[in-house]
Amino acid sequence: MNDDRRYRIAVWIVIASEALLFAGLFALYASYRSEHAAAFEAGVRADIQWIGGVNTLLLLASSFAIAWAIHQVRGGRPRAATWSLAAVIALGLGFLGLKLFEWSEHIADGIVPGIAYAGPDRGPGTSLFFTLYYGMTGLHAVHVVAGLLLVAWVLVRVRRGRIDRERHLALELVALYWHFVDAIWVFLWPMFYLMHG
Amino acid sequence: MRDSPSGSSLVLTFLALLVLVGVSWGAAALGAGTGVALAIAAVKAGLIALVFMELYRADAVDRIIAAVAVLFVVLLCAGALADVALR
Repeated sequence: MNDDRRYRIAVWIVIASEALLFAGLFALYASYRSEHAAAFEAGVRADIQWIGGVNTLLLLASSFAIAWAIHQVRGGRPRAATWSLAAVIALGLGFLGLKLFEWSEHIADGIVPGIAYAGPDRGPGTSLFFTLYYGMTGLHAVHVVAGLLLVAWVLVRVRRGRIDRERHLALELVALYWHFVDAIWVFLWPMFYLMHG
Repeated sequence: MRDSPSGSSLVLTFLALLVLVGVSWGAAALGAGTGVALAIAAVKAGLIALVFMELYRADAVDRIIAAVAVLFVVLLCAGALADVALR
């Protein structure tokens, strides 16, 4: 087995481990939602719908952009790949900016995690919903930050000619991680913005 | 190993994802259930995994790791739901 295969398998194992980390939280959400269906539906309605939708579009576009960057590198067009990777970073920062804005709006309305919750529809179910909301979207945001740092790293390597038509494993592995972060959001979006009854 | 995805297949996949975003919005507006919302999400994630992550051309070991991860995520969520349903 060559080094490329070893690195690729290692990244897939990291992704599988991360998936199981989120799986525990998905299971918690499923369990609590079953017990507090009305409170969870009210919680979904309290989230800022347009931010969830726009953030979904931003992350899907970023996934396409990083896949496009790989396509450009494989075709021997590093300059185009650099622009694609810059777009990934801009889209990811846009996602984080909107997420921070939504959190700040919620906090101003008293919608905070745990027993300090002072927003609308007070009750144990609503508090649980927003504890999960902050926990899961916060954990996801940490992954977005990590992904952006990795994308910035491969962007620099493409610009310096360290990633090219023959050597682009690092870019492919970073892209795998970025797509995984996108795929997690694809499920968080309905859970926290769409499933309102 | 199969060829890497062409530029047109990447664009078509992205367009399909955008259409599915619209379907998600529409289904939510019409009051479709949680099952519909999660099923559409699963289709989106499947497209991302197969085309953008290139699982359709990946080595068997990579595919097995991905499949086992998905299986365990589903089992964990099903177990949590079964616990509530069977109490």
